[in-house]
Amino acid sequence: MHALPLPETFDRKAVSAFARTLLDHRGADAVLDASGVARMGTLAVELLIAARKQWQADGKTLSIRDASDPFLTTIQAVGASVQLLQTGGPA
Amino acid sequence: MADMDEFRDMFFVECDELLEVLATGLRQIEQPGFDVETVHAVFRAVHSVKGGAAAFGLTTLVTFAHRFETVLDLVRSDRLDVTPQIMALLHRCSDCLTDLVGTARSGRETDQTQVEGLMTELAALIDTDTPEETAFEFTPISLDFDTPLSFDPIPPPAAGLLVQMTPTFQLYRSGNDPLALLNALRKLGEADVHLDCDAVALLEDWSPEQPGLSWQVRLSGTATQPDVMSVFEFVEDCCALSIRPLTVDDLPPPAAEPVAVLADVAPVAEVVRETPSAAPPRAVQQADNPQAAPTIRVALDRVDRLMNMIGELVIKEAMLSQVIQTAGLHEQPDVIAGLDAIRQLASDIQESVMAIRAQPLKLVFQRMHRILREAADATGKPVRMITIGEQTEVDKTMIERLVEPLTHMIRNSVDHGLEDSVTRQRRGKPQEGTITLSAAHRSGRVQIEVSDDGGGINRAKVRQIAEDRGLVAPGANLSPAEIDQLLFLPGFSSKDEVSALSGRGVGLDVVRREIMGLGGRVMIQSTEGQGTTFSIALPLTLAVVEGMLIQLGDQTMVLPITAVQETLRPESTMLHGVGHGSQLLSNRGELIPIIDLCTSFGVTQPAGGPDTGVLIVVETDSRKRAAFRVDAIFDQRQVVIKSLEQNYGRVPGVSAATILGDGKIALIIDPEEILLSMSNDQGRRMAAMASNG
Repeated sequence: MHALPLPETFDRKAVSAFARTLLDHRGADAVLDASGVARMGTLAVELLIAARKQWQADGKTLSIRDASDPFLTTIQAVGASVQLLQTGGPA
Repeated sequence: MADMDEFRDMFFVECDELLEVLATGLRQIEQPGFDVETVHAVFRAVHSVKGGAAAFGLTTLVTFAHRFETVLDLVRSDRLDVTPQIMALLHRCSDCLTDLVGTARSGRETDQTQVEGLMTELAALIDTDTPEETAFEFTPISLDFDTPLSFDPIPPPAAGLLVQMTPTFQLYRSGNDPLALLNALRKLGEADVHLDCDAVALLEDWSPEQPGLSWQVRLSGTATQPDVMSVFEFVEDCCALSIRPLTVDDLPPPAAEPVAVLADVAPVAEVVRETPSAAPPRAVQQADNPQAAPTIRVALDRVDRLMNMIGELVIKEAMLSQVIQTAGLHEQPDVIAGLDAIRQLASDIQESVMAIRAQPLKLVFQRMHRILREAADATGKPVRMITIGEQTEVDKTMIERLVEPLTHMIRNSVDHGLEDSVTRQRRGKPQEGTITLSAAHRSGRVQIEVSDDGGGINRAKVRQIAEDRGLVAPGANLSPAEIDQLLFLPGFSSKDEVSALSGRGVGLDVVRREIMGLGGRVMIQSTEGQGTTFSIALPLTLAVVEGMLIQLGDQTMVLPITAVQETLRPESTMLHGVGHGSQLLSNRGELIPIIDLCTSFGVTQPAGGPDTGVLIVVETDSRKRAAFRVDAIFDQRQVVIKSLEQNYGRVPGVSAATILGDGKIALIIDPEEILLSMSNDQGRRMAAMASNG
């Protein structure tokens, strides 16, 4: 399955455009490639949570692969986890 | 009003730190991919200066800082692009703020023209709708310090604090991020972060302008509510915030709901990894957010007093050692062990006090950025500065006394060292010149270098000027290094016309005198077409030196151990006569000039003549080598440096004095100056021979 790469600088300025990109992929399972994320902000985490909720409501799965260190560091620092972003499970 | 003065002094000390944060931050913002947190740090620094200044009624400072921070606010909220022009303005504002703090501290007149000019430039950047600008009203607050202030500290809660925050879009829009706030909370203690995402909408309804995340942070430790409030000082208007002591009900249930104790998070297994080469995640370590070590401010004279007392302790220890020797107790194991322990303790205490006085050279280097900017503006030469090793620590006294010499050297490098951009282009160099300011600890000394990538020293011109001014005899046989040294002669200026920037009648001789006053040396290395490097070698401390105690006739003198390479009793085959009574030492295939220190200092030679005694091979900071002939070597120890110039007067070839264990004064030899006077003598002799010839 083709993985959708997350922006390298995934900050406030990037979230609106990426939200539109995500909406274009609704209706099917999706894989997000987090390997290229070099910088990330909290709004980006929130966007991924909103996406996970949407995919769950649509009965589809959203997974994240190859999380970069900056990606993991950010989501941990705000109290989230990859599991939370994928399934809504514990942070 | 003593208290008022004390608070005011504290404010200015804090300003120094804040201005350092400001200047460093602005330079970081110029780098590609800078962290947005740097902009916040810069903003907070200016805001804090403003806040403190308001308490003391420093109106000009407050007004300027306010407008400055308004523009910084535009930068941090992405409403103003960071162009080179904007950065240049921000740097000038930083310089102006530094000047305003300086004038407020000293009570001098403010340069209103500079302030008003910058205020106008800043105002042009501020949108009239910017609320901070229009809403600002400043009324100086009068604080009554005659009445003793009573600060009742809020007792630390037994179990910690519960912090709940829900940011609004305003928080994000102003360039802030809850991430930074959470990290700031972690610095206050152990933080259990609970992320609540219930209010986050489905993606189809989601908008970044209606954020839904909120947090509960259980903060353990001794942090107080004001501590936590200070984290939110700049965002409290755009964040729903609640802070209260933790109760039992707040403790997490055994099987915790989504709670992340950061150090324990290990989400790797959840990640779909297709390539094994991906690096393992870096857990957020405590070390990333170390809690700042507690600090206190201590007046420098208290530390100096302690340093002096340690100097006296070293002298008393030497005296005690002498008494024990005289009393014939020096072979008693208990006495030796006790004496060694005292010696070790004195050394440890001395090192500890030195560490208290040590400060990073960053404090000086940072000021040089401004000097460089001003020099570049004055000469019209584009130039950048690279700093290396600015965390290198030196004694605080040196920090203060290095500012003037380094200022002059930087100006000199820009003005005299670098070519103009047209010439540089013609020579195939980048238009922008580079000045590198570096520092490092090397062989028990601190080495500071100012290098430029300019045209190098024009030695023919330097020599001609020196001859024209009678500083050196025409035709004197001078090596390239000796020609370079001519630049340090008083009044020397290699520019045909006196420059408004560096040629104000103050030459490099002043730089050398200042550095020598610190017990240091200045050296030059230059390659034509490639540039020039000025090196300063400084002792680590001005208080103590490790020295070799030598005998010259009936005098005891001290030779700094840093200059000593080896000692030897030469065989007659190793000695070669040359010229008028001069001798060379043949040592490992190298010929080294021998200098008889008895002759140099006018001390009566002991019986046995000049061929007896010991040779000490020395190498100076400028890499000059010689063999000093002395009558005997009898000890090596730490000696306390006492200024000879302050207590007596300057003696050629002597850098300072010390007090020995028997109470006698011994002079501390300056090997560099001895060698320099030798080469000058030779130069003069050769010049005389040339002119007579």
